[in-house]
Amino acid sequence: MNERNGVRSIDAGAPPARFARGWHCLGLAAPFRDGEPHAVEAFGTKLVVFADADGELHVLDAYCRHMGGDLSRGTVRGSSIACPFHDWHWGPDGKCTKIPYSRRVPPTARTRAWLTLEQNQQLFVWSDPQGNLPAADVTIPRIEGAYSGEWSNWTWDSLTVDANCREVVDNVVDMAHFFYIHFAFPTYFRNVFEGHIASQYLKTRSRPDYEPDARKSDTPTTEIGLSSEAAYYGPSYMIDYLNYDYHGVPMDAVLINCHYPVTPERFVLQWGVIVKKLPGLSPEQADKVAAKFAKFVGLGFQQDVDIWTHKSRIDNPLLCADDGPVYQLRRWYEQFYLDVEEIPADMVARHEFEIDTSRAVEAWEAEVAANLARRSGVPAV
Amino acid sequence: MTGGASGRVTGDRAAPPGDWAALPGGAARPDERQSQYCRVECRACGARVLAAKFSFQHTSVQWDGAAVRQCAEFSRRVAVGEQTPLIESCGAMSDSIRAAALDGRLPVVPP
Repeated sequence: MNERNGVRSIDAGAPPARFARGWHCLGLAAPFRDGEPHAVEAFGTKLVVFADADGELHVLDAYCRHMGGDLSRGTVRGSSIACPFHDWHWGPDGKCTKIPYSRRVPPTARTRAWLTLEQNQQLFVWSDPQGNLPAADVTIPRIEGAYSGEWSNWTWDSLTVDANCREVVDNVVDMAHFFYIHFAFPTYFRNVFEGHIASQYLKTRSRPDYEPDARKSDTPTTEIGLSSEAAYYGPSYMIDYLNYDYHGVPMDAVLINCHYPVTPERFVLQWGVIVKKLPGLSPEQADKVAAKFAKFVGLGFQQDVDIWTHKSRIDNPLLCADDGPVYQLRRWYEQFYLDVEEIPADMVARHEFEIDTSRAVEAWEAEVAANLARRSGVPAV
Repeated sequence: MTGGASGRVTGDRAAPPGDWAALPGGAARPDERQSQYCRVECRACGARVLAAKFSFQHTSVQWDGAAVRQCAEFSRRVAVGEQTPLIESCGAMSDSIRAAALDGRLPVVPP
């Protein structure tokens, strides 16, 4: 029950015991190619990522099936990873390839190998509690800018968050938090959920009461308009195509917002940015623009994290008319925690939801005006 | 529980989409906001969806697979390589829903 004596109760529920089915980005691929094994704590265990002699990346469970040694502290030997404890060698397919001190490798010596994918210079692993391969249409799309000399290199950052990863996914439908947490001013907000994809169409303008340069510069502050088309491809990888009108100069950027679960109550949030080079900018200058933008995005995520690590999990949010489709989004998200055979058709059927922003815009314009008036010392009318 | 404005509804009122109670997993719940879904047929291609409006600008639309396949705009765009989940909306369906709201077939009711 939600209510007793008219008082609303929070149903905190519990995070799902299993991890979402889907492609999960572990980060940029290049840093994994240094010849060393890399540890990644994810999916309730530890993984080891290593590159073979040809540079191809492989992911295995890190704990050696012999006596539990940590392969991520071992050594790459050709296309195998050798355990630091007893030198058992494990190949890319998870089979034990060699035990130097033994006359024979036990036929059952096999560990878990994770299906990998490289796309957009990033490394992905496929997580599926049922052990199935991904369906043909469930993939990570190519971002053209990531393969073009006209764009910057990727920035890449991460944060470990002590909360269930549903918190970050909820942002897809949360129009109002953009004003209160991210100091943006949403004017248009629409969601589409269909199949394994959840999209958010957002238009914002900047908040003159939070322009960092507002009082430092003599130049009048003009509004920075932003148009964003973001979509989750599966449970954890969002591509956000951004178009800014930066003081009259159009700017294109792509933001990756992705995560992987460490435990049901911890996840690693990662984000990366590329920007299209403005005419006349050198590659180094373009990278600087991307870095500046990534820093701004990072501040926004830190504000989110501050909320997430202090809030209650809530399975029964109390919504008003001007909130987004939180329940519909969570229903879409639930598909990744069910066996594929159990997913009802209407759970993944197309749902569109457009918020009426008129009331919010009216209230926020008044709030911004009051903030500006307070700053200038002139009382608001 | 049903909404209190049923007297104004002249179209074929529809139940909210989805049998949410029967859902395995249990974490997903129905939206508690009262949405008065009505069936709207596209004037261009005849695709039928469930639509609800909290206000004139707000719209929520539930499609099923048959409607997505029947939609003329989606079909045209899928034929040139687009994916329907990445199409923001169908213009003709949006017009049809707007027209239904304007002539009173689709109630505009805040939750």
